[in-house]
Amino acid sequence: MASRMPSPRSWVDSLLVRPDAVRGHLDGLILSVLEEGPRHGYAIIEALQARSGGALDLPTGTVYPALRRLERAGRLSGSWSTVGGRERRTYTLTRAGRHALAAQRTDWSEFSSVVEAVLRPPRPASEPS
Amino acid sequence: MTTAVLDPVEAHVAELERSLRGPSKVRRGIVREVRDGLADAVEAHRRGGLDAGEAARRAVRDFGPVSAVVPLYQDELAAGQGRRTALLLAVALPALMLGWDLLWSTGFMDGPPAAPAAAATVKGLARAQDLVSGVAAVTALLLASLTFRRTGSPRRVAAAVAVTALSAVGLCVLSAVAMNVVNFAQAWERLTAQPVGQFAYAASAATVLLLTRAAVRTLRALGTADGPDQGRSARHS
Repeated sequence: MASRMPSPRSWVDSLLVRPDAVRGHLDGLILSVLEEGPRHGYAIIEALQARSGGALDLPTGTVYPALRRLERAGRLSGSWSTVGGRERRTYTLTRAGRHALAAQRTDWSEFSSVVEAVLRPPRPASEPS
Repeated sequence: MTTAVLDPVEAHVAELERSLRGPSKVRRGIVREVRDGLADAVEAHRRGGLDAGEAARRAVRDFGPVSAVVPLYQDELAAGQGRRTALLLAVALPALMLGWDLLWSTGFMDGPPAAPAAAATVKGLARAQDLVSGVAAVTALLLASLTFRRTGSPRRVAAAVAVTALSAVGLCVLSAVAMNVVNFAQAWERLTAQPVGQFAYAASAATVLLLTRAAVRTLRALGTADGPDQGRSARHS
C-alpha cells in the first residue's frame, strides 16, 4: 500500500473537475461548508472533498488565502483557538457571510437552470447510441 | 552527511515564509496556519495508509506550488496593511491640524508679533495644510472602504493608500517648514521657550514619523511576487 508512487487518482480527479472551473465558485463553496459550524483550514478542505464525493480536486494551498480574503471582506471571522489539544485558526460564518451565501445560492440556481435549458438536447432520447 | 533529507513539508513552509512580505505578525500567523494545515494533511494521508515520507510528499503535492499561493497571500497582506495605514491617515492628520488650530485660536502660541506679510503667508499655508489633510483623510476613508471588497485589486488600493499618505505628509511637512522659516522669530521662541510649543512640535514630528512608517510598510507589503525588484528585497528577515 505504501509503495504506490505517483498516485493516478488526482489525474482522474482533475479531469472530473478542473481547478480553474472551481476557482470562481470557491468562495461560495467555503461559505457553504461553514454553514454547519466553525471549522479550521484542513477541516474545510476535507469537508469540500467529502461533499463533492472526492471530485473536487483543487490545490489545497489556494483554500487558505481564500479564507483570509473572506475574512477581510467580513464574511468570515477567524480566530485562534484550541481544537483537539492543538492551537488552530478557526473560521466562523458571519451574518454578512450568511447573506452572501444565500445570494450566491440564488444566483447559481438561476444561472444553472438557464444553462441547462439551453444545453438540453432538443429531441431527448431519439438518438441511437 | 548523506542522511540529511529535508522534510518536504518543512521545506515548503520555509519557502512560503521566505517569499511573503509584510507585517511580521500577520506573516507568522499565515505560516503557522499553513504548517498546521499541512500537518493535518500528513496525518490524514497516514491514516489512509501511506508511510510518513509518502504522506508528506502527498500533502505538499496536494497543496500546490508555493509560487501559486504567494500572490494570493500578498494581496491579503497588502490589503490589511493598506487598511491600517488608511485609517491612521484619516485620523492622525486631521487631528494634528485640529490641534495646531486649537493652539493658535486659544492664544497659547502668542510670541513676538510677526510682520504683516509673514502673518498672511503663514495663514495661507495653514489653510493649504488644512485642505491637504482634509482631502487626504477623505481619500483614505474611501480607500479603506475599498479594502473590504472581496474582488478588485487589493494591492492597487494599498499602493494608492501609500501614495496618498506619503504625498499628504510630504506637503504638510513642506508647508510647515515654510511657515517656520517665514516666521522664524516666533518659531524660535516657541521651540526654545514655550513648553506648549515644544510639545506641539514633538507631537507633529511623531505623527509624521508614524505615518511615514505606516506608508513604507504598506509599500513593503505590496510584495515582489510579480514585481521587477526581486533581487532587492531577497534578504531581510
